[in-house]
Amino acid sequence: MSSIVRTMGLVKRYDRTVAVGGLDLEVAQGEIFGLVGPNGAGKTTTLRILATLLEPTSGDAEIAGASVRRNPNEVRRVLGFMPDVFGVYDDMKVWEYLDFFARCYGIPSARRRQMISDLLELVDLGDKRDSYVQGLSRGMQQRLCLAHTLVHDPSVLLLDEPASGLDPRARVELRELLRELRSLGKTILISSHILPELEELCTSVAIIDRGKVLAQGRVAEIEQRLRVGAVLRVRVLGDDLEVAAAHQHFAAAAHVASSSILADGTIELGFRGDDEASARLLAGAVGAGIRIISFARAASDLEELFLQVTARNQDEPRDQVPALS
Amino acid sequence: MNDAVPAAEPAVDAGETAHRRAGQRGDSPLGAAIAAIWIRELRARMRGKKAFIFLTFYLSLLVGLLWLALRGAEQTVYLGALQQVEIGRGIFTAVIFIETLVVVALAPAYTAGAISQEHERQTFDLLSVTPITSLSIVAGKLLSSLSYLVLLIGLSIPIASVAFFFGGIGAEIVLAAYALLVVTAIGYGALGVACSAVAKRTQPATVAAFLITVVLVVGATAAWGVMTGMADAERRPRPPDALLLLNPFVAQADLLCAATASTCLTGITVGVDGARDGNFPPPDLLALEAGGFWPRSLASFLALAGVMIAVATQALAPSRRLRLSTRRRAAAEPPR
Repeated sequence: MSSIVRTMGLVKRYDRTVAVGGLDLEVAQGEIFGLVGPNGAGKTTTLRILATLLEPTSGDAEIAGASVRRNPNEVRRVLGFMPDVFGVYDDMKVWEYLDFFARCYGIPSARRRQMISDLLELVDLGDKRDSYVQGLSRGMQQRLCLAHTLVHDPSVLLLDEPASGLDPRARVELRELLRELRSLGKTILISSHILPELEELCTSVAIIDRGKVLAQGRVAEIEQRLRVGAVLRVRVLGDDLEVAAAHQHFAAAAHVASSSILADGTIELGFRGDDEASARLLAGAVGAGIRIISFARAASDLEELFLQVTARNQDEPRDQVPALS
Repeated sequence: MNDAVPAAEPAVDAGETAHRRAGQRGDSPLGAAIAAIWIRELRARMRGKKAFIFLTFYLSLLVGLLWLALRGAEQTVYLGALQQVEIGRGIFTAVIFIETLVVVALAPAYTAGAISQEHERQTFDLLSVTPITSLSIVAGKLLSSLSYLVLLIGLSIPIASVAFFFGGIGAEIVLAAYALLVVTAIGYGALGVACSAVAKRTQPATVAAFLITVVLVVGATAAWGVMTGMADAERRPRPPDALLLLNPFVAQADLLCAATASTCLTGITVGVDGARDGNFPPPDLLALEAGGFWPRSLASFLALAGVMIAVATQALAPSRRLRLSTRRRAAAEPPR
């Protein structure tokens, strides 16, 4: 698939602070792409540069082939942006809110009426058409803001922390809505702190810290690239002596780099072997008479990847951060 | 959730064609963009009881003043033709000066929050990512604020027109006086919008707009007066009348003075009037001539509006500035 969003050595400096330090990103068309990073990583700055709200100090970014530096107005035509913090206009009804933005995009009146109805149905606010915007709940305002990004049928959506401040139900609804938008052909670039949610939603992610991409790609691919070993968790039936004996057995086994007994009696093994080796390890333990009730690879999720990747970055001096992608 | 498809099939109609043509440059058609802002602002401004109550109060005040003027006229036992003319001119002059005061006081106040409130309400980003141009945003904001002010000015026209019953005021004077009022509103309104765009907070923007207005109206006139007094005492040429060009009271007085030689109200126009009679002050020291000042003042308000709109457009957002060179500077915003 071709890239619809590209950043090339994007740099944003504020005096001596580097908010984005040479960011290279590629987002393929039709993806839901997650930007993951700790506070101050440069996620919002990156999205604001892509949304033409900030100018990069150097480097460039393109959306649908239009440069944010050279053709910002062209970029504004093909993207919809939802900031992390946004307000609503007082004394405006829901349909008027969308009508205003549709006018800003020069959408003719003949199309506005139907378009507003369609968008309100899409974001499940059809029955709120004549309600005042300030009277809507936070989740509804969030959905309305998302609807406003769609009035001109953009091909790319930039969503900065769209789920922040939402209750679990509203989050689920938002996730459904984003999936629906993807099915309509939109490319969605989304930043969030809620990693499990991104993991469920995103087709690809970029883990960024200190304004640099540390890892980029599909979650499974990143996991594979990062994997120098896996964590195996073993539970043994028996008293402390039996657990200690089992621990000794595993510690001496092949491919086991480290081992420890957790507080709940679980044995945790740092394992550097493949699936074949782990099967042999299990068979050997059973053969040695160890009564195993559970033997499993600890699940590696986005949160864990994020912690692994950013932990490597913690003590690195700025501008010497190695990228993994 | 349902399966509704969000809008925007690539339909092509006349509006769309114009839109696409403008889209060659990547922006929205100027008129449509200004109208978008204008309609939104007016909806918000005119909705609810506040606007209705204020307009009622304002109109009652004007009618009350008119009633007082008419009561005064009634108490005169016999109204001769000349007295009637004087009453008519008096009513008109009073209305115009009250309106000038209203414009000078309200134009900066109404516009000083035009841009800054977008920042404070956190709606500016949403507006900024649309292809609407900075000029459209500024012009739309100015237009919507001025629409309300023009409504206030317009409400006084029936009151001022009472002067026609008494005679002494021609339609062309009414037109000129109201044109001057509207242009004053545009000039000081644009000043308010510029302060709003630069300050980005409503309170400092309002303070700055009022301070600058006071300096231009009162300060410049006071300075002119002091310098004139010193010049007269030392028999030197008077300071240039350019100092007074942005004082709408002087411009209105000049207009009324030129039209109705007996209704010269200010020291300046008294001077002009005296100069015409050749007695006070010495004619060779006068910089002003009745009727010649207000057109220049009118042009000055338009120039002020032009400069302030340019300032506001440039100050709106760093990423939206027009640039003469390709050199880019980092926007001075904190990292987020």
